[in-house]
Amino acid sequence: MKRNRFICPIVLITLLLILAGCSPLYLMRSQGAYERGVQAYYWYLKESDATIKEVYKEKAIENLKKALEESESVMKTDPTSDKGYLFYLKASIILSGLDYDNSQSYIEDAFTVSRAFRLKTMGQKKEALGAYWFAKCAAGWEEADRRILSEALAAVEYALENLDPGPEKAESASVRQILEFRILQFQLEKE
Amino acid sequence: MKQFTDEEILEKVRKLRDLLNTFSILTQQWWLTLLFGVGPALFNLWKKIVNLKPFADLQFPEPTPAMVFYLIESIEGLKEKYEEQLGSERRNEEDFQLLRPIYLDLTYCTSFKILKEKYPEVPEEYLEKQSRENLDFLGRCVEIVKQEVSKTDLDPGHKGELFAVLDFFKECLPYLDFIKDEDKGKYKEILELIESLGGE
Repeated sequence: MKRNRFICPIVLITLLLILAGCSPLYLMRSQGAYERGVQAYYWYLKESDATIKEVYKEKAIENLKKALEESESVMKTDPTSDKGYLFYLKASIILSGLDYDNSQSYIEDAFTVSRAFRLKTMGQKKEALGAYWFAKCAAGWEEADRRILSEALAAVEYALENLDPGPEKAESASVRQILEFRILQFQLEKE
Repeated sequence: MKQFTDEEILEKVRKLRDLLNTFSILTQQWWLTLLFGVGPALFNLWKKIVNLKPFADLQFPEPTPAMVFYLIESIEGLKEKYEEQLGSERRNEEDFQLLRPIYLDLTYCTSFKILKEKYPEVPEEYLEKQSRENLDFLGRCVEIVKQEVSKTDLDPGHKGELFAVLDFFKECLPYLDFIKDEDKGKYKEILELIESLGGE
């Protein structure tokens, strides 16, 4: 019995160390798959030949799905890293347009991740980025209810005030417009 | 923010030179003209240099299909024009691809003139506000870089040359599509300028 009491923590610590050691590998795989996916996505957008376009599309979907898997591993093995969350969110957004029939399921999952990322960044330097991602995912999730949309609107206002100048800040203005429009729709339906 | 030393600035300039060289070669390839549209490219190249952003950040953020449909539905003039595509039963991948560039234009284009030409059906006040905000959000990045450069003890002559390049980058921001032929000469001049700076 006594021996077991010593062995258990040692095994646990060893397992944690192994998992922590795997994290950089998952991150590298996640980034690699994401970059390949994005390249294939831009080839797909530009291609006019239907057959070749389809090949690029499949390649993009395959790599971006791989990026999702690897990012999940990063989030599990190294929850302190922002990169796992960000690759997951970025890959989900592109997949929602590419794998159109499953668009909303990618966004639903991305919304859950964005909520975790927002909580993780609260009170930290990247709080505005967390707010931006949360608002963006809510704006693109059709199932989001009035409460979520209102929460997202407050988040995007925060992002607009606190993000550094750049594309995310520019997009935040569009996200705000979408959220205001959707909240107005809820109000009109109620009336 | 960090203050850069002469050496660090020159290192960044060297990187810029390398990147711009790559850029000018890669734009020969059709698939990269989209990825490296002149405005986002120049803006993001600086972003990459200053913040050491990875390749994945060299594009503007993408929207989801639902975001595209909602945004266009919320804009007077476009809602009517694309009524058929915006119908909730009709929405499909093809319509998303058709409307996606409009989302990108309205979200990132910094030129009122270009927006007005492309979207005459949209109220001018809306387009004016969008372009002004976009220029503010994107153009301010260039100003931040300029402020950082001005804090350094770099030779005033070099500072002036760098400012000229940055101002040109700012001028390029309105172009979201391809390099215009008349701008290609300016690229050459910039590459030569950077070459001379980076060579020291």
